[in-house]
Amino acid sequence: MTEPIAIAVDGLSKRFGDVTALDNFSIAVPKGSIFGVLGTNGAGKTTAFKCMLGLARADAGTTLFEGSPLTPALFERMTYVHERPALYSDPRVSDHLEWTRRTYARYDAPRAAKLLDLFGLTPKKRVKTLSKGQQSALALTLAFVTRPDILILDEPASGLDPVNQRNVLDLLIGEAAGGATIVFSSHAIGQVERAADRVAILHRGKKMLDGEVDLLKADEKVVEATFENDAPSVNGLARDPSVRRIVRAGRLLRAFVRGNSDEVARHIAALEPKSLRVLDQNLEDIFLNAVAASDGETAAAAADLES
Amino acid sequence: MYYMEFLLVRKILYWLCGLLAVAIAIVSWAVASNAHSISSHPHGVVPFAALLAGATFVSAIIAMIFGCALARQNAGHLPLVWTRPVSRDRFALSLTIVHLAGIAAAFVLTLAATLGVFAMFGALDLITMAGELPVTPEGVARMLLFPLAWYGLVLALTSSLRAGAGFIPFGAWILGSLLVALDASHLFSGASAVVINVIDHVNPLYYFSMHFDQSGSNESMVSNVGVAIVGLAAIAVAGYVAALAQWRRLEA
Repeated sequence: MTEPIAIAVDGLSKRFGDVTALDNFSIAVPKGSIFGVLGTNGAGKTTAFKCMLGLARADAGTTLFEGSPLTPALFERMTYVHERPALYSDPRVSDHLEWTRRTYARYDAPRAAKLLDLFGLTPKKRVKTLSKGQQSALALTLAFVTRPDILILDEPASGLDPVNQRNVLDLLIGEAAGGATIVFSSHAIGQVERAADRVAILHRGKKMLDGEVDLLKADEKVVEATFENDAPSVNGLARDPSVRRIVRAGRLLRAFVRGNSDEVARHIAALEPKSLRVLDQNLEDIFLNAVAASDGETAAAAADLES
Repeated sequence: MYYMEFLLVRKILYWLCGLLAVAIAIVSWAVASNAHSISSHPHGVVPFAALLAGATFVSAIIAMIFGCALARQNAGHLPLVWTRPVSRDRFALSLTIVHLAGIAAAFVLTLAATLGVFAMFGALDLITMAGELPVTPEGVARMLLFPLAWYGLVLALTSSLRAGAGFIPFGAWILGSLLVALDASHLFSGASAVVINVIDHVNPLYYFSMHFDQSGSNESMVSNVGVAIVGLAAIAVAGYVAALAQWRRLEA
């Protein structure tokens, strides 16, 4: 049985003058899942979120939340954390919580106390006296304190120390386990790999790939060979459509392969390396492959360049 | 929705109370050091309308500060305020309700402080409702609308700004004063005078200012109070509508 879709984004596009910030972006986020959006700086992650939430006008495309277009009332059950905390600087931490309490019927006071304690925030402190990480923590506290069904978080762990980054990931995983749907972006691929069930990779406004993290990883292998001397050229491999990228660094040769890696391993074994092994790619490899493919560094071009 | 704005309005009113207290102290010191009391005022009586006008001007300044409210949201807070479970119009309206209460409070505080000075020196009986400047319902309505017109005008001028909105009230007041002066001066004639006069119609000061006629006596720029009331109300409403229309179209 397929899971119901909580967020359906279809063909979102956004231009700023001559620059295409987002180009035909589509994702489907199942209810109760954690969806990670990866991308380099300026990839279009924030623009995508803003268009989804109506904070920016998309030039094309639609976003449906649980099958319906966005309405203000939906924000009672949905929250958004901006990449730069949009907090008021002069009011205190407690003022922001009070504002949230007065605005949301779902405000959970005991949870607010727990979150303040978790992030080490002092209610009486004015926001302008908080560090960047503490401001991020407050923005997250305000997001989680209403127990939302849908969370859209733009770089939620940005500026946090490693302990609080871990706390945030634990919170995300806990919320999803409770049925919440989460979409978040991050530069920290390790965080996405740990928390996300699904991932989309954006580069220069275009979605390069998306899917379940486990399936993507299972489908992507790296054939790694070490040679006695400098790794030889592998021109023949460049024509293999399953090879996404080849990296030669001194005596090390790595071929990033999608699908069946046996043929590529045989090809490299014929070059008589000192050692040869086939590994699962991690999300970082998958991300770099997608970005490199977008930048025109196809396997063939890379091999030609390096041979 | 309005809680954060309520905190800001409250803070500004605290500042106003402090400034009024300082003003009262200075007046008291001046009266005491000059060894004469307010009760020996050279004109004999003080029109209550003049006290109302003073409170009107103070509340107009406060209204202009409040008029930058949407621009304050634009300075980085839109992702927070536009993802609350209320529409943008309702959010803006909630701010305006707090501002109206703040403007009214500023008016009452200033008037009370002024009356308090008279009371301190036992001179309340000098204040008159009649005389050259009688208090009329139309006159009071004009005074109450004056800060609201400034509020609407500043809101319209700043609602799409993300930075620098704080300079607009100051600039608008200077420009408004200059416009009234040019309009009243008769320095221009023909099309230029008409243009200045037309622009002056969206200047709240136009409906509140005096000019000297050829005989040397001063009279209101707009002698018909009804016209002034309509003009001020129109600026307030049109400014508010224009501000909302601009603000709704912004992107965060």
